[in-house]
Amino acid sequence: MTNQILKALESYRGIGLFYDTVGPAAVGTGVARAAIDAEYSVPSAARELVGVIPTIMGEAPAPAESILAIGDIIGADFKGIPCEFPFPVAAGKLGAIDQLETTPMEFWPIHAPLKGTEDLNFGQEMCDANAADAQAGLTLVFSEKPSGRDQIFGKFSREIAGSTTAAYVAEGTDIKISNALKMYEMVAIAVCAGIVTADQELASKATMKCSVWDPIQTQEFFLAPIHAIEATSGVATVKQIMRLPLDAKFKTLNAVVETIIEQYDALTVAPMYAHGVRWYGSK
Amino acid sequence: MVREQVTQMGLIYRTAGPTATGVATARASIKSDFKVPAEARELIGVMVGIQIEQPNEGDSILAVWDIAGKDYRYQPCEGLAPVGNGKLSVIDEMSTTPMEIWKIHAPLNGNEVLDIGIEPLSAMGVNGQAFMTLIFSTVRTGKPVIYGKASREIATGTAVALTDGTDIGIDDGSRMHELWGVVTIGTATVVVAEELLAEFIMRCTGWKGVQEQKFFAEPMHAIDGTTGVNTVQAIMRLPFDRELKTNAVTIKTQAYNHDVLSAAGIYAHGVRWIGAPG
Repeated sequence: MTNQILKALESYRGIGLFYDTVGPAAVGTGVARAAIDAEYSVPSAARELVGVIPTIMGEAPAPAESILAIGDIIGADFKGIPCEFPFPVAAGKLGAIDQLETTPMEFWPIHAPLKGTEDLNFGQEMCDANAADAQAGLTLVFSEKPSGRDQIFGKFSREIAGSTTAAYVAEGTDIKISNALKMYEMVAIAVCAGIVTADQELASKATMKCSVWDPIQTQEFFLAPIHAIEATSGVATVKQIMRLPLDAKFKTLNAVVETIIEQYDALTVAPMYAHGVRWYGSK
Repeated sequence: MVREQVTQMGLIYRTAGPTATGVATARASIKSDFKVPAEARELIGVMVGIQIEQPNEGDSILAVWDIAGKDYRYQPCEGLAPVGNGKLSVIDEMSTTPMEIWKIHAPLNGNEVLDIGIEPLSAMGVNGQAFMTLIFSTVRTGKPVIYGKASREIATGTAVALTDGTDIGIDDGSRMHELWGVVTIGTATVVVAEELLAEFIMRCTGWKGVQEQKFFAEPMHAIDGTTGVNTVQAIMRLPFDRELKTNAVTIKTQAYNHDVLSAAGIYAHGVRWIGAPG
């Protein structure tokens, strides 16, 4: 998977890439936004935040705890607001083998111009409460020269509670976008935080609708296959993520993206879902 | 996973190994007399694998591969072998990190003889078994040769701490190409609910522009709490274009262990660069 990060960053060669870290910081057990670093000073040589590589893990989690978290960057000087991205879905402890695992880190391009004098505030917001602290950090990818690429903005819906019943359909939070020109990608995530019994699985479908997308206004996609089922003890976590490019243009600068999830299987605990959109826009 | 856009030339694939590498940390040859195919004109790159043969609980390997031999004119050529993950006692799981492609672009003549080696950075209870797929082309790409060098083991303590690693010296570089960092806990046990979040720091006053790089490794892999037996592994590779002020530079390495662990981690750093042979 590091090869995918390497490959994603290969196309930025020649603009003076350099790397710094933020955190790791304990972000607590609640769902309120917690700062990973509220006073990060951008390196003086930086002329662009090319993107971020988020990481998160649970500290000594209880059985089957999972984390679904949304990260953000804010700060009065930051030209890239709104800038949200998901942290890897951290799957919690499996009872029989106490396995802790996270999904592999991914690179999220942003292309936000910088002067090298900004103070930024990096944060994360868990979509469900955790019994134990989570620890979140970011590898920041900067460049000394602008990449010349369009800036990517991002916004995510928060939790959509799933169900323990099969054939369940739920509407999630609408995602409201301002100053949108063209879509970049869609993201959908599902995770079970809780104890799932043996041989249970999760198949789900995400639907995203926007009346001002041009030309196709409705997108449907399945999430990546379920991750882990531990049948010996009947304790497991299940997690899914899907990330898809979407080049749709916006007919108007302001848009509302509707989010719908369909869950096909019955589970002993309800999963939770989140959707996200990333787009090119103007400040 | 290893598919690359290099299909506009006659590609040739050959293998070396699998070869038992022993239990010690000395360099072992996967194949000391590997003969380059007669039609080959460039070594595009390699993919390296390593596994532990019937490992003890908690065994894992962190190893560095190399290509040497008097016919191979583009030394140093080193990279990271996948971290071979040992057995989890409860479920007898063995795993390795995925094989990755390491591009090299070294011009070669057919029938040259190479020595392909592997160097485990921590001793093991049982043999490691290493193997390499070599990717050649029948025409030269004209791309610059990528050289590589790894720091050797940084044994960290069990506390949250910043540890200095081995310096990496480049003798004849012109431009940096890639950075990598890797961590594992080898031949040791970790107790329940422990985790590892590792940060890598590399500094070089001979780099033009920004001279300090910091990055996290990919999150830790597995914790087995029932028996307290486990391995933990993390890796990160990042592209890094940067000119050097002088051809010879020294890169300082540090690893930051952000967690308390019952067994010490083993870290290594690596750099890959463009330069001149020798």
